Amino acid sequence: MLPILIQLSDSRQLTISKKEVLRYLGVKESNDQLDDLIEKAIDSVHSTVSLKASYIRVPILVEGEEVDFGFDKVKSQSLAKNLKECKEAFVFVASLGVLNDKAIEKNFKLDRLNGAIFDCVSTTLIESFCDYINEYFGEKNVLRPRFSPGYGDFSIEHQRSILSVLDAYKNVGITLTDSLMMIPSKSVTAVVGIL
Amino acid sequence: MSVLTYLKNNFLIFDGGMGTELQKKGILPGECSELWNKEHPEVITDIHKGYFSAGANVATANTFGANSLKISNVEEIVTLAINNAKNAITKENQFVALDIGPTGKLLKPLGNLEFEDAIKIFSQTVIAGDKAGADLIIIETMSDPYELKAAVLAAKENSKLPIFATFVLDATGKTLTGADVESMVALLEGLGVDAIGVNCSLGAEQLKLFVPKIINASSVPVIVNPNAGMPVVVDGKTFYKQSPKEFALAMGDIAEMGARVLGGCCGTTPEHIKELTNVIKTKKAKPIEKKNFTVVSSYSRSCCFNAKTVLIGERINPTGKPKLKEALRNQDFDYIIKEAIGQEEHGANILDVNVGLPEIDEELTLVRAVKEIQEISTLPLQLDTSNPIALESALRVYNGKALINSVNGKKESMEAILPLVEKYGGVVVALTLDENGIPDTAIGRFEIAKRIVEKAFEYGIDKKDIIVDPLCLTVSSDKNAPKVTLESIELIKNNLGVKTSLGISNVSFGLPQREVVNSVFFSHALQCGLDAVIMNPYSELMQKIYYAHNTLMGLDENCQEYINFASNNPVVDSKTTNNSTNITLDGAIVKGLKNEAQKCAETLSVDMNPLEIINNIIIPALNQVGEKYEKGQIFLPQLLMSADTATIAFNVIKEKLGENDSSQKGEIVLATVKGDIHDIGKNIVKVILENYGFKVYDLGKDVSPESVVECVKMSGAKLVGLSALMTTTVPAMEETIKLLKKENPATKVMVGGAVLTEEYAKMIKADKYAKDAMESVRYAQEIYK
Repeated sequence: MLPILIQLSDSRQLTISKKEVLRYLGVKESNDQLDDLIEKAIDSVHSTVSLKASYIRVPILVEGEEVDFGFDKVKSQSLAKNLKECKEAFVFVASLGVLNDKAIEKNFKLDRLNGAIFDCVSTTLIESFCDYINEYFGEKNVLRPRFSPGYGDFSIEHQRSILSVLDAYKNVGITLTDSLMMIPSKSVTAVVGIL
Repeated sequence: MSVLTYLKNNFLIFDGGMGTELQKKGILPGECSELWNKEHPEVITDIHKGYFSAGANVATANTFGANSLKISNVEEIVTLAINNAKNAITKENQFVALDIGPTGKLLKPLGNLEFEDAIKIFSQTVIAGDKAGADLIIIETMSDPYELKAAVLAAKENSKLPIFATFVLDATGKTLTGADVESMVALLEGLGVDAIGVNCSLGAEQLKLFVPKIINASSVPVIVNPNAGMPVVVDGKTFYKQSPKEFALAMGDIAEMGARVLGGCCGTTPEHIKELTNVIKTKKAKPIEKKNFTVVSSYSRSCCFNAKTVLIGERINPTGKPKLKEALRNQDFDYIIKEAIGQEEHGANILDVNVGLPEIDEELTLVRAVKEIQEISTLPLQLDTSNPIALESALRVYNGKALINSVNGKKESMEAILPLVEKYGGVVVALTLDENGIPDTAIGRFEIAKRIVEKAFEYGIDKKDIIVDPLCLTVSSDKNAPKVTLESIELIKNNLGVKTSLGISNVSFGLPQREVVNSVFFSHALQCGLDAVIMNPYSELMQKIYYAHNTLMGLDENCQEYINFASNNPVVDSKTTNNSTNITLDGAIVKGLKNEAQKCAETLSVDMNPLEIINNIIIPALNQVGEKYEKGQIFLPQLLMSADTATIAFNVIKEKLGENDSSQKGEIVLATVKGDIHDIGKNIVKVILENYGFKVYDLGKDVSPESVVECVKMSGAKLVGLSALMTTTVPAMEETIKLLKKENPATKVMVGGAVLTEEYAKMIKADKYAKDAMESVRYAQEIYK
């Protein structure tokens, strides 16, 4: 069961919705000045990312509140509910790469507002990359909504086994701190049930 | 025969994947393969035997992850692994390599493993492997140049074995951290590694594209150990695995290109190595060419000294710069970082870093400055210090091959500096002075340069890694001084065959309108073929001369760089720029208009008391913004816009306040707790607090409870702000509060962060839960009433 890599060389083919960026920024009403800064950040984020992902397709067994992935057993009511009718699932990890973290830091040091905006633009982009991966999975399968460790009662402890089975350090460049944070910060692990 | 002797005239064939073979023998996903050295030694030896009989010369011992982060009994496992490999040897010219893979943790600043801790971890493995009798060390699958440097230093400091090092490239030809091939080669050659190359990640067919780049940059044998092609989906298209025949065919091409060490990585089997051996049999090993590039590097890019003169930014040097002096005294590294980025944006190729001030600890400050700058800037650095201890510490943590400023002709200097260049790599600037001072003739300076080059050779430092600075004295004290310097450049370049560098600004010391003198001198020096110049990148005149010179000398294809420069720096007509608006300072802050705020502050501070401006204009304007934010009429971005604008106004006014700055409202210590590595939220709180006049001691992220307590004691702060982003780091917050309350019971603690709530804050005994930046200001004002 080798993980399969996904690379996307041009991030410009992904959409970054300004509305989403504003939502992450916590802004209800925008203005021209802010719109302008967001557009600039959207334009500059692409040169800071290297889009990579790694995935496997595994048989799963859902019993009560427990989901058995083979490489790990997860006790979670919300996940079990999400995967109730599934016999298989995709497990993936996706990331914008470590240079994006550096770029966020640099932007923030130069100008705090631009840093905050750049951060939210990056978050929107990684979500958009996950959507792209979902679409790829969905070409030949009917899928459940993706579900990540940390949602509901799906403990982020499971980040460890997921990253390990996906060989995430070697394939995507992701490491985990002792407090279970992923580096680079714009990284997502998720499970997608197959109906 | 030793492995290096064998490599002189032959291809060296490495084995293929260990993991792939272990899977065939029944290892389970997630099982620790290194423990099989103890549990199933015969299986491991069999795998090595399989590769040797397929034609491999090197067995890579099963020690890839044998480090103390993954296993507890490093020495035992490494010893067993080396023995298992040795037991497979059947004839001459079969060697055993101690295999060192990445720790699996990213180093600071990208991750949270300390550089020195990484060296310690690798050292343990090296010591065990050396003792067990390995023939060489292969450091492989490295995607972070910093971790690779840590591993090489561990190998050099604990063993005399040959060191081979390979890194991982992605489909764009860069490492995960964005380093290009040239910078990786510069780093590794500088460190004195015996063979350099790539492994893993890509198949032979894909890696082939990047092999010529490595060979063109490298003066040592090149290693290529690809995958057998992992399944990859690139831009929606799927690529599948390579068969042994396909693999060997591509490897044959790679051998023709000049690679000398060939083998496989993930997915390759004895079959692949057998086919590879068959293909190689018909080829002749190409001799390895010495390259004559003078090159320095940062973690991500290299800078080569060739036709175009290299610009070294001089701004991070306290001599004659009171603001930088103050920043150094206050350990204000943000100021230094801004200076670094500013110079980078003005076209500097390398940044000089000099932090020497009598009243500060130069070693600690230089190390911190190097770490901070290399976290943000991508430029290579010139480490500029006369203190060998500070230099060694800075060279150690520097992420790349540094430019070292400097060594001179004094015996003492050469004996102190040259061994450091040998150990850590680097290009060293050689000043033409010795025990008798600076000779006043070009020939005298040439003689000293020659002596330094000869001495460096004794330390194994090549001429290409020396840049001579013939020194430039002040024209106002010696009218012939600049002429001698220019003559020296030509003499040294033409007769010694080394590159040259010069600090320009000194020539005009004591004269009016120095920039004019500097610029004309610069132009003459360019004409003499000067290879690098230490200058002020903000000097428009020098920039103009530089770009025009390159264009006139045929160094600028289609005059493109000159045209770009000119269009980015249009000639400004001073008559048309005076379109002053009627905006007031408070209006500018509320609306977040930075330029206007700067102008207003400058105008106001001419005849208004600085404290009055702060208390009667800036603070009320900020209050107005703060209230709007609290009422939900504006949002975080607008709050930040105003805060940044206020900061600009503050900076204008602070210059007037100077030493008698009595605007401080009180001290606050801020930290993101241990284990937590995201600090944007805390940084926002910091800027707002500073706006309101508080002196903030920002300890950064991943801060231990002890450091917080220590800073509170040092600063006398009555208030501490802690942030945590994840439920997994809230316990660290609790621990910090506990220690604070024990050591300094009077200190108040406010907490914030994504996962915190009022209830949670109470539970961990914080004094205050601040839901946002404004609430922390209000609380701080209460404490310091």
